[in-house]
Amino acid sequence: MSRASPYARLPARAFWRSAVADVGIHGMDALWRSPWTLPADARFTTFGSCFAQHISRALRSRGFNWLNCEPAPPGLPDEVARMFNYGVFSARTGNIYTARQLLHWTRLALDPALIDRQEIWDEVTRKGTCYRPALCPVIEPDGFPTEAEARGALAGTARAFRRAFTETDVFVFTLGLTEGWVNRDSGAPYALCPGTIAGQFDADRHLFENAAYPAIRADLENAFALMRAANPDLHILLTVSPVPLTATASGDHVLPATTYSKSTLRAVAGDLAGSAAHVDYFPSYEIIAAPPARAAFFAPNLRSVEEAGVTLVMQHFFAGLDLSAPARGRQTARPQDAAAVDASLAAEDLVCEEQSLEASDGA
Amino acid sequence: MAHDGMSNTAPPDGQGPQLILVGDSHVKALHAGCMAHGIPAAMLKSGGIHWNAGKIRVFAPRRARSPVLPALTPDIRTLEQTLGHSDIFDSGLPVIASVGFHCGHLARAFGAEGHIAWPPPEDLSDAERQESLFASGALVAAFVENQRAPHFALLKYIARKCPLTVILPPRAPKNAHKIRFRHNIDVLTATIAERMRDMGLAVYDPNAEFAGPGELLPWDWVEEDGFHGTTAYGTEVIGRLVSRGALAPAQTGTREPAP
Repeated sequence: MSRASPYARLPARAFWRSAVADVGIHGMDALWRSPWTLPADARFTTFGSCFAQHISRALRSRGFNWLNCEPAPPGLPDEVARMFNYGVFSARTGNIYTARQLLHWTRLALDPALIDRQEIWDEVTRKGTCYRPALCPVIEPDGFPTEAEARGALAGTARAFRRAFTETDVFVFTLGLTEGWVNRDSGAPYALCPGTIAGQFDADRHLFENAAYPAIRADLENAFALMRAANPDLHILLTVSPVPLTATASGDHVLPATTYSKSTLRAVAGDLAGSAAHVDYFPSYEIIAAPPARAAFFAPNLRSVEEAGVTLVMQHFFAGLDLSAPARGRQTARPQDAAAVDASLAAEDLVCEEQSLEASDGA
Repeated sequence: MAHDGMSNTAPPDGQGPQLILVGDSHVKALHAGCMAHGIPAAMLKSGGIHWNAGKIRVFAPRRARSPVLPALTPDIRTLEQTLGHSDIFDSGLPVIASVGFHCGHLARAFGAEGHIAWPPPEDLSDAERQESLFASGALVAAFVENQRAPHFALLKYIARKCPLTVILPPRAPKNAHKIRFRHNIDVLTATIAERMRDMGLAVYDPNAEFAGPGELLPWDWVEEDGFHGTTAYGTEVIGRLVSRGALAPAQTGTREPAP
C-alpha cells in the first residue's frame, strides 16, 4: 500500500505555484484540453452574451470553419452588415444572455408555429411606428415598418438558429447573466429589460427573475436535449463571460451581484461538463477575471475586455483544440435555384453583348 | 463603333440629336422607339456589367467635362464636338436614362446565400421558404444604396443640367419559374426606383402605365431573354413620353442645380 500523498505525483499544472504564480498570466500552459477529437474541418457555431462575439471573430480570422447560418447578402460592406447584426453570431439572434433565452430560441427553432405567439413591441418614432421582436429587439437598426415583417424576421432567424445546431459540430455558448426579465403571463424571456433600449416597461406584465442554479441547469439541459435530438453528434462547449453586470435589479450591490451571477453560471457550466461527454467547459472567465490577470485585461470602465485579453483567451482556445480527425469535406449547400439563375444570367449577358454589337452596327 | 461591348450611336450626319439616351442594354429598345417616332437621338450605351463594375465617373464640378464611362470616352468626345459643349449635358437636351436597372447580377449577388426580400411571394414553395433567408426592406435599401451609389451620382449630375426621365425596364413573365430570383429582381428594381424618386428624379414606369396591378406587359413587348424590351415596347414608351411633352428640350439650355 502506497503511503505517498495523492498530490505527490500530480503534474505541475495541478499546483498553483508552478502552474500560475511562477509562470504568470502569459506563461500558463495546458489550461484547457478539449476532450473531443474533431475533424480538421469541424464546424463551429457561436452564440451567447456579448463576449461570444470575440469567439466568432477569432474563429473567422483564423480560418476556422465558423458556420454563419444567417449571413448578410454578399457584397454588403462589413460595417453595414454589422448595423443589421449580421456576422456577429451564427444567426441574427442578438445577444442571448440567459439559459432561459437559449431554451426559448431552441423551442422556437424546432416549432415554427410558436412564431405567431411571440411578443412584438411597437414604438412611435419620428419616421412613424416601428416594430421589434421582444426576443431580439435591436437586430434591425430602425426596427421594422410592420408587425408582419418583424415576425418574418424572427421566423427567419429561428430557421437559421435551427441550422446552427443541426449542421454544426460544436455549438459554443457563452453564458452571460442569471438576471433577466420575463413576461409575467407567458414566462417568455426578454433579451433586455423593456424600456431600457426599446419597448416600454410595465410592472404588471414584466417580471424580474434572478435565476438560481437549479433553474439554469434545467433550462440548459432541456435546450441541449432538444438540440441533440435533432443532431445526436452535437458537441456543446460552454464558456462564461468575464464581463461584469452593467447593472443589477436584484437589490444587491452590483459587485456581489456580479459575483453571484458569474459563480452560479460557472458552477452550472462545470457540472454540466462533468456530467455529459458531449458538454465541455472552456475557461475564458478564469483567464480574464482570475487573480493572475490582475484585472489588466479590463478597460478603464472595468467591464469591457481589451483586445489583448481576447487574444490570450483565444490562444488557449486554439491550443487546446484537437482537430486531428480526418476532414469530412462537407460543402455548404447553395440555394436550389442557384444553377438556374447562373444559366439565366449567362444568357442575359450574352444578349447584352449581342445587343451592344448590334446597336453599334449603325442602328 | 464598339468598345469592348460598349456603343455610342449618333444621329445621321447633318441631323443634330434632339435627346440623349444614357444607360445599359435596356436603352436599346428606347432608341428603337425614338427612331420609330423620327426623333434623332444620341445613345450612350454600355453593357450593364460595365456599369455594375463601377466604371462610371462623374468629374469634379470645376472640370467642365462630360461624366463618362471611361471606355466610352472617344464617343463622348465626338458628341461633345457635335453639340459644341465640353460637357454634353450642358446642351440642355432632354435625357432619357435607364441606369441601374440591370438587376440580374444584383439579384444573383443578393440571393446567393438564399436571401429573399420581404415580403416573400405567396407562390413560394415550402421548400424554398424553409431554405430562404429573411431580408428586410431596410436591408434591401442599404444593399441598393451601396451597389448603386455611382449610378445615383451620375443621375443626380445629369438632372442638375438637363430634363431627365428615368425609365424602368419591363417586368417580364418569362423567368417566372425562378420565383425567388424573379421576386428579388422586382423588389430591387422597385427599391432603386423609389430611391430615385426620393432624389427628386422623374421616374417613369411603363409597367404601371400599360399594365394593371399584378398584370404583366404584353408578351411581344419583351425579348425572349425575359429581361429586355422589344422595339414595340420602346415605341409605345417613347410615344407616351412624347405625348406628355417629357422630351422637350430645356428652355434655358442649362438648368439650375436642384435645391
